[in-house]
Amino acid sequence: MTTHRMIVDLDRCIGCHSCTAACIQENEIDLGRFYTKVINVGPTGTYPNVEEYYLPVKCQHCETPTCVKVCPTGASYRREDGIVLVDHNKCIGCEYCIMACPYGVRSRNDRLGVIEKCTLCAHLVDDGKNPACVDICPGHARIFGDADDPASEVAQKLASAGDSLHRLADVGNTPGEAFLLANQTWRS
Amino acid sequence: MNAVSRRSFVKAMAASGALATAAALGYEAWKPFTALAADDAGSAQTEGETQVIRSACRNCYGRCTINGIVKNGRLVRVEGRPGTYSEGTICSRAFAIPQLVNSPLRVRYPMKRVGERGEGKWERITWDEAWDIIIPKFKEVIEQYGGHTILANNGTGRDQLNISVLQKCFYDMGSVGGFGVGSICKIAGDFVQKTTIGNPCQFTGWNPEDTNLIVMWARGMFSWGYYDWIYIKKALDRGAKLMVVDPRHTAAAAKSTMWVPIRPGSDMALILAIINEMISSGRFDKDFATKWTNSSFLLNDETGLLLRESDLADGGSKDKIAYWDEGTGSVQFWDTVDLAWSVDDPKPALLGSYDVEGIERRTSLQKLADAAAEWTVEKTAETTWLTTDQVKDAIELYIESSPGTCFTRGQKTDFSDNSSSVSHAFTIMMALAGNYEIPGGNSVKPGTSTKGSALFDAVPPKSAVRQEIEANIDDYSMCPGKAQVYGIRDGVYSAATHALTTGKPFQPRIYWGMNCEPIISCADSLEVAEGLKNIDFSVNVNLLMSPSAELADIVLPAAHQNEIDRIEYPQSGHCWPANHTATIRQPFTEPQGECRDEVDILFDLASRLDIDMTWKDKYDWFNFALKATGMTFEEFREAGEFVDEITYGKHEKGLLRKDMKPGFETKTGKVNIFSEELQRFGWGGIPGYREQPQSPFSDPDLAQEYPYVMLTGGRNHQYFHSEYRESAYMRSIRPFPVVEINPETAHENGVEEGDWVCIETTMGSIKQVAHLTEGIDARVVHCDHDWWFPEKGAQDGLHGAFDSNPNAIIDNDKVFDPAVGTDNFSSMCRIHKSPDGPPEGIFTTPEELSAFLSNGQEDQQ
Amino acid sequence: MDIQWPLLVFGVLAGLSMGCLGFVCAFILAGKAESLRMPGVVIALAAIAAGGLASAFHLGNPDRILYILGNLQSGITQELLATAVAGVLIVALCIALVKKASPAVLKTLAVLGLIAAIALPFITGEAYVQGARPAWNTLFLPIMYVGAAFAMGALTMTVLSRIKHVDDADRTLIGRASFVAAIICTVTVVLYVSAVALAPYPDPSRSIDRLLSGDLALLFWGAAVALGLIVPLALTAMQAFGKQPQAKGGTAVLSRPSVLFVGLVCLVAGSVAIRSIMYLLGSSVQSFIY
Repeated sequence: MTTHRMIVDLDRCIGCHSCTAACIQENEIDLGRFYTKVINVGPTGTYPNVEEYYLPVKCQHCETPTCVKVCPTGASYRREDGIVLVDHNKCIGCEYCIMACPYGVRSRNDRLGVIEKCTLCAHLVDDGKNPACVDICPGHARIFGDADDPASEVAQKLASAGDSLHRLADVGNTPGEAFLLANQTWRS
Repeated sequence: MNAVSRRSFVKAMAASGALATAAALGYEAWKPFTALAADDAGSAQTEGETQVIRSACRNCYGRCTINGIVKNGRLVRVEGRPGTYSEGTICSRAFAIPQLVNSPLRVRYPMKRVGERGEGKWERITWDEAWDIIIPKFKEVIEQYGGHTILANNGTGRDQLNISVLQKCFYDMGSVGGFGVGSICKIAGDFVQKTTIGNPCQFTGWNPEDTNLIVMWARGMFSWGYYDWIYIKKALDRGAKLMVVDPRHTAAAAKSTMWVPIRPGSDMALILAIINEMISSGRFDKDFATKWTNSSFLLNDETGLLLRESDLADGGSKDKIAYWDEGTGSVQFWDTVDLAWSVDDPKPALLGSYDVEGIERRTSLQKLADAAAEWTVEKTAETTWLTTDQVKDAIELYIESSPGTCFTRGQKTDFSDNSSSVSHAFTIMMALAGNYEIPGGNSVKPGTSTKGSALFDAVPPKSAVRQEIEANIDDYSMCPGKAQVYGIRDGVYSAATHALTTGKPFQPRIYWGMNCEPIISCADSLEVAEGLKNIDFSVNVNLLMSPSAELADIVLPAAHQNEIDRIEYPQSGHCWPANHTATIRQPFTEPQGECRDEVDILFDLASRLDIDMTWKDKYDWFNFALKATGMTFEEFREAGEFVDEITYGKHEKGLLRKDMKPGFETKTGKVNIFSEELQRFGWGGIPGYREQPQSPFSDPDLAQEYPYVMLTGGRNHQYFHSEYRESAYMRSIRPFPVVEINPETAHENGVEEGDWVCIETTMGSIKQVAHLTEGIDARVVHCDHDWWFPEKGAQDGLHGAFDSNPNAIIDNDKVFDPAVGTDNFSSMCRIHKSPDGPPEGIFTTPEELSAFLSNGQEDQQ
Repeated sequence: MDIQWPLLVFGVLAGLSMGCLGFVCAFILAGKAESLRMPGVVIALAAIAAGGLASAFHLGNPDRILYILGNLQSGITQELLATAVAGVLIVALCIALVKKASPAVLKTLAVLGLIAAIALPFITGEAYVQGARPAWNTLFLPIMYVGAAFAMGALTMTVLSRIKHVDDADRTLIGRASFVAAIICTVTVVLYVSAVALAPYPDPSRSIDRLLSGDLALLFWGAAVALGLIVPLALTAMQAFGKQPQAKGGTAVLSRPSVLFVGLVCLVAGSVAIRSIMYLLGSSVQSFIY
């Protein structure tokens, strides 16, 4: 079994938005829309005793995705390897999946009338490459691989992270991706 | 979970659900199913030849190695290129490259102004027609007024060849510079380091690999050479610490072990406090201080300089400098020519004052100790707005981690009237701590020093005209008597601006601006614009019709940096290994339209004016520069890069001096704790604190009406100075200039997150969007610098050059640093919510940004 | 989230439609108000057709509308099916009334119709119940939709009862039923707003303060409460407890169809307002990008 997962090491992310731009280039996204963005979490506290980290967010490719559950046409679906995608040929643009996503990472492509989001660059992954946001990251913060392969960096990080492993809010969707944060308090 | 800051921009930018629905009301939404499916698949690339060209990015100082993907002769995307110091990583700015190369806004042909300056009316001409206008004008001015009335201005020094060739061409015809990018850059500090330690090593030269502590001073973000973070992180994971001295809580501060939020402009106080503690507690590298610095050299209070043998006896050598030898209990000498002590087993006294022929003479280090003594923890805390604990902790962390601490800084400490002393003080701080030329410290001459050269080393000879001017520089300089340490290089911007508008000390007649934007980057933008508007003749070599290009008579189309060949050598800011690696930059595509490499334009200009450039073209120049490597440029292109090994203790091995003797490449052969150059041309031989003008301490009356320190120049991830405002991607990610305000201050002034805010100084007002953050002192606001709006017309304030640009409201009339000509940029301001929102005519939605995108036809007119 | 107008219009019209359908079915089962049955069914049909058309404007690819049957778990699929079933039942009832079908047929259709009348508003509201949107994640939301449908149907019938010939007893009964409906509608709104106040993952974007004293206060107090609840309560109270017949006295004006129609309009406006508020409070747990 292969489960493609991405985890982000927030102790490494410096909030540069290179991933945002790489994604726009790779997926030819219309201006002003984003599949991934970097959020400043903080500075939390009172000057000068503050903490701040940067949170790159995108579709979490959930294990029990609510967006798939609510999609009336089945356009939103989860592949065997864990990647959640939208079939443009079936999508009617009803935006129900947008309502069902707890993270606000889906948006409508007005030109095509369909809903789009991070595809984990399935077209690259299927070609044996990494998603576009991974290699260019100047912090080497994005770790991508097969979580079912115990030798992969992803699997090893997931296994060893302990208390440093965090996930976004789970409202029954079971987020598939995870974040590592050891040096600060997780506030997301 | 506080996503509000980003979302407020997104809300302004993203099409709302309601609007999207409205769009769906169009007939397109009702097209039959098959047509839509076909459309969807239609974005696949057409068949054609695809090339992958390896090169480097020039969008900041990083030189991250990249590949360009070229389809059917057109650059379509960039990717990171692994296998080098940047490890295949790139920052978001790199993605702006294909957009600029293919931009509809790009100038692709020589243009001649028709209509008034600033009207924005241009007609296309041929290159020959352009030269037929330019050359006679140059000849006429040189003959009638002299070559020194020609101002030659270059932009940020990332392309070092541009600067070297520009200076060769223009200085040889008599120019004394332009607006002086060095006046707003770290170059000033570099020149000071040449006199104090021999080589610039405060930006680059740091080696985090084995370090105990990395000090990042006024270098907030990893905003040039993001890959430096890879090496910093490795050091941190190994247990090293990171100290970040910066008024703002930047990404670096967020990752630091210790954030020192110092008051803007007060850095010198903390440096002196560190030096004070080191000397008073005796915790400094006495061995290095004794052998390799001039700490022990005695001072001659009458001359103000070092005490020489010639001061003590007739016929004494002026090359021999006195010190007190504790071994023999007598005055002895250090010979600065032979680089030798006058006794076999010298024991120079570091501190104290000694009776020499009846007069008490202090050692240089003693003079420093006496000056630094006032910088107690308490006084430093009060001056810097730090707590006494913060000051103590910073001092202790630095001292305890040394030797084995490395240091890098940004440019902001060079934006004061005391830059030379600050640069000097940093050198002393590192030297006394023993942090040079050791693992984990700073290399004094980083870069490809043994195998090959920075292009700086390819120094062509000076023409007779230039030599005459340099010999009588005060007769020709725009700031006679000043900036002697900086030299003829570049000019001093405030002097150039005043010369243009007042005709004093002389009236400049021609302006040649090359890939620079002084209206945006220099203080008092309006005065710069006025000066450029009224000059006799002006040529601008540019990629875009920027504000100053609109005031030119002729605009020449510059090639994009990824359309030309260069050697990318380590020059700025990088840590090891980048600072020991040179890499190739070569074209992804041919220059579009009739664009030319600025260097080729300069060679052409020189040849038409009979200026001997020594080398016949840039390849000749490259081959000369590469001589020591044994490679020609073409071989270097093939190899793609060369990497130097790091060598420690270069001063002991004779690797720092041209004569190959042990020591430093300074006049004394040692690191100058006391600097005679700064004693003569700066504020003094020992660094001292200067409170900057227009600060709450120096002008409390002003602070009543303008209570906040206006800090500017902090980097962001999407832009570099005035660049990339024409990039649709960058504008979509960071659409507006941002002013960072403490929430308490914002609340006091009725300002909320996302509001357009007016920031006012005594000179005027600009508008930026408020971002509230606890990462800045309530008494400080930080504005993004160098904003202009390409979407606005020339007639709209020269493309909105004065709408949001802090330089439009910073004055240039203050005293500047006497040694290097840098000026103080911080000002006091007040803020209030903008009554009418954003500046008129700027893009505020993503739909508008599509005007910046190429339609694929621009280069085929 | 921005107000999704096509969906909002669908919800309100579907509610109005089902309210009318429900009352018509109740009349059939109770053997009352014969003259109101046909008009009620016609209004129900018109409303649901208009609502359905409006909702199509929401879609990016409305031509693919039949794909909606692809996933029975989806709230939208259920809505489409329920709407279709309700539509069919309305048409069937229409035909049955016109053709004067047998009481057995009518009663069967009425039972089914009554079920549909409660089910469709509930399903419409339930489609919004998402863990991802804390301000929607409560059963009190679909219950509020049902309450609104009940009230809209009731007031529509009240207006009709003043236009068509209906005997006094039926009219009084309708009047009392509409008062009960107004109360139930008010209670469901209060319950929903309370649920919002107590929702997990608190955030300023969905704070109850927005309604009570913030940027949504005017919409809430002015439209949702004053127009949408107080006016209908007052008018229906008059209907329930006022003297019958109201031939004299100033209160007679309150029983004029035009006035009662205004009351219906106010109720609908209030329903639109509270649903607008629902959308505007509908931020996701973590609104990262959108």
